[in-house]
Amino acid sequence: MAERDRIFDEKTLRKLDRLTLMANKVRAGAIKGERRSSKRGTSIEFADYRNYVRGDDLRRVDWNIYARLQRPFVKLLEDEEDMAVHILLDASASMDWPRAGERDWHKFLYARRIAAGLAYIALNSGDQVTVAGVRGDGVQYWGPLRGRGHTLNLLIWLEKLHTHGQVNLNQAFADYARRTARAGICIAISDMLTPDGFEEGVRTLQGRGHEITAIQVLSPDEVNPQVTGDLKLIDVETGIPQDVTVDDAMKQLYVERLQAWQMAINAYCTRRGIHYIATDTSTTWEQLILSELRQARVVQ
Amino acid sequence: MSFLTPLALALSALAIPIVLLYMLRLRRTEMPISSTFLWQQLIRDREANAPWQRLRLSWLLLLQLLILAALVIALARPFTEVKTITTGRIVLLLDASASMKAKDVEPSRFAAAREIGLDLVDTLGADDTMTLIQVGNVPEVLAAASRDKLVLRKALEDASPSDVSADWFAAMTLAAAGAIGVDELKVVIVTDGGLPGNLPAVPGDVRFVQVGESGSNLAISALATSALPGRDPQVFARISNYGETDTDVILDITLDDDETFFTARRYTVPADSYVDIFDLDLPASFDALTAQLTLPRNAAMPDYLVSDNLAYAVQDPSGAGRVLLMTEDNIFVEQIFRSLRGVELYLIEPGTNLPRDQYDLYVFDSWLPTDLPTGGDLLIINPPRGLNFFQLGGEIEPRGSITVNSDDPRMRNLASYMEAIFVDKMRTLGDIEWGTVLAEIDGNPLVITGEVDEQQVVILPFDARYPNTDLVLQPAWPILIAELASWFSPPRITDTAESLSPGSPVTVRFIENAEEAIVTLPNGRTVMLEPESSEVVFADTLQSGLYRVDLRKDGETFRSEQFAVNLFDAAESDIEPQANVQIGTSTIAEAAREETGRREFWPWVIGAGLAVIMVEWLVYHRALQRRPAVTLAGLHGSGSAQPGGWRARFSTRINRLLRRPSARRTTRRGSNRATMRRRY
Repeated sequence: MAERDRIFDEKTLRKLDRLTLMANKVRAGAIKGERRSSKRGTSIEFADYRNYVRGDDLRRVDWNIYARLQRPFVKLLEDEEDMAVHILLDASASMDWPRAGERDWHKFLYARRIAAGLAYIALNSGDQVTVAGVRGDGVQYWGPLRGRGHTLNLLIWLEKLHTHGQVNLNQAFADYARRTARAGICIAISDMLTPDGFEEGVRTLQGRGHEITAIQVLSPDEVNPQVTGDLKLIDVETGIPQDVTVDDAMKQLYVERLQAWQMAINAYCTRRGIHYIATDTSTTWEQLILSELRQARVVQ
Repeated sequence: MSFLTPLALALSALAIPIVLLYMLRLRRTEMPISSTFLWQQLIRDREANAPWQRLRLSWLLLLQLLILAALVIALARPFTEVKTITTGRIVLLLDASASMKAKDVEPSRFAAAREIGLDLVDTLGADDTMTLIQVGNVPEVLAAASRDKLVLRKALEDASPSDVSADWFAAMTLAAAGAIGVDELKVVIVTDGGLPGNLPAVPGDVRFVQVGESGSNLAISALATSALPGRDPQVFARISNYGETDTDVILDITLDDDETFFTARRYTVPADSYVDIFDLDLPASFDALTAQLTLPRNAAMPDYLVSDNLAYAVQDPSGAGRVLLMTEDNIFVEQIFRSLRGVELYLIEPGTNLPRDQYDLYVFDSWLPTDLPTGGDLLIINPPRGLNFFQLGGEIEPRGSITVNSDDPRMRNLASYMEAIFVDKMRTLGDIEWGTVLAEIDGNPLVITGEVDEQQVVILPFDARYPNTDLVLQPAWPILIAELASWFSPPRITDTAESLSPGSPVTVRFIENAEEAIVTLPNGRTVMLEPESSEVVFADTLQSGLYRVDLRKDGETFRSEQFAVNLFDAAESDIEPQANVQIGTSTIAEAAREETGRREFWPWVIGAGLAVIMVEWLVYHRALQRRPAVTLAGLHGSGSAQPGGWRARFSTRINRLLRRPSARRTTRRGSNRATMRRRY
């Protein structure tokens, strides 16, 4: 695969190594992870063993046990806990945009890169990661898996994931909430360009105990449209046409409407304790993860 | 401003559908977009989904309303009232004679007359008509009782003056014919004057409109060449000054096609007078001459008419006309020469001295002078003695029949007539190797022709009287003499030796079995004449200048001749504008603009509308160019706008197509994990 087609390059991966996902409310896992617990009083002490599974950090294998029993076990410590990370990736047809021009501005590629970056961080932190591609014909899952050894597998899965059809985010999020047994950090990456909204779904997720981060990805021409004239706009996701006469005043109105809509989303998310990050694809995805998500304290 | 058809203004209601069309929704360009979610909200805000939209200021709308306004106003036929010469049923007589080419009025008198005519057309009322007659050498009706202004304007614009004299009698007859059954006919004569004084009266109200300001003109009013026998030809010319100032003028003469002047002389021509020129000797050999007047730089007066400054003359090629007959009461010979066309016959008693004047043909019948003339041709009948170019033998009484040399074209028509001729007595001839025997009897020459010392000679060695021969009583005699006369001096192709007036007909003769005649006009145009009969009348002589007639046979020209056409009309050269004209018993002064006419100006409105259409077209296409190009990605970023952007996208897709199968094969063949590590 050519360099430009990769979701990550090595340099960025190394940067991501240093980051980890941060949950405001610690989700105590059934097993221990590498995440430092917010609970105080416990020291770095042995807590338990568990069977080694592929992808676990080899440094955590108890070699003495291995020497005695010829079976690998991983040591779990008291002060570290793992976390469930859910990444919900909008794979509706509207994410397949723009269909020409700058490749890095493609929304779905951009979204997959963010998903991969966040998943990479989570896997490196020993968290349990589930990635769900929400398509019009159903949801495709990866995981839940733990350990950095699954990184390559995740990237291959993401590469093969494509957009399809029309997605109802409310229904998709609610379905996901019902399906998942373990609450955790839930990161939804979407353009949110759906007339039904996503509030219902988010509420359902929150009701299942998830801590939600919503990343809205738009392309530059969606933020600042360049079209002019008497047009019949065809929605690539729904196929519904919309007649519109676009002039400078109309463009200004569009920008104002977009900003008002994003402010409304932001207000809603703030009210509900949801991290909301709006970005357009002209912002590099590394910058989004390493800077903006860090500022928003989604990663640290 | 008023309107002839104000009802047409109701069409301005068409503005309503135009405005409504602008309020209707437009046909839109389809363009895919990621989501119409936000646009739908916007449209909801602006209520754009309604069938009608708020009328917005649009240049296109304004321009289209302007176009409609121009159309409606034009259909309503707006007009303003102006003063004009006359209205109603008009017969316009437009002088198209040579004097109307005078340039004392810019650009010319005829152009000024045409403008007057156009002005009359413009002010015609809805029910008015105009008959337009161009008065040239043959008056021509250019438009007959038409109320169609376009037709009248076109006819006026196509009218043009010629170098001819105007035939006002015929023009008045035409005008009177147009007056039959018409009440209140108005006859408008637009001319510079110069009408004959005895014109008949025409019914109706006659108006005279004068054009021209000055009578200053110089003209060659006569030009001819002639040569007395034995002398070089001379020019006779008359230069007339129709102005009020004595002035100098230069007369240039060129011969044939020479580009250099044969001579150029300066003359002083008194005012309102002329100078005759008859002291210019010309070379013996030329066909035509051109004389031209040129004003010197310091000329005392301008010369406003150019047409009469050029004149042409041709040298008369027919020398056969002067025939000297010396015979003693041979009525057969005398009568036959008297009957020949173009022959000027002179009779002298035999035995007298030859006149000093030269003749084209000498006919000696039964007598010879002591010294033969050195010029002219010779027809010797029944010579009494031999001469230095033939020997006369004894008298014989031939018994056989006449044998004709049918190969000779001169005898082609004579064979059947000559065979039955009898000759009682004749003389034999000797030393006649120079000659051609046209007829013989018993081997003795009866008619012999030839050339001796540049003189054409015919000998008939018998007494051409009855009862010595019955030839003189038979049709063969005039045919023979006519053929011989033609041989001595070929007949002219045309029937004119002098200058023709423009427009005069000329007869072209198809002599010597010509198959066609080609007339070359002064402007180089050629006209082919078919020999429908032995003579054809050619009348396309409106141009002044030299005309050449070529007779052709078997595709080759065998005879050429020129004739000249000159204006030479004092009535045309005297360009002094006349204050009044005499029609019938009435003297008519120049008409004033007293009547009120209606000048319509809808063509200007239509023109303005067309200009607005052009602007509307430009505005529309500029708007089209500003529209976005429709692509799958919409109008995105600078990448697609860059040259070669499509190439980059194309090559990327090709690379993907080529590399994906390769990656899959690698994955299947080798270690999946190792492959993935290499990729990441």
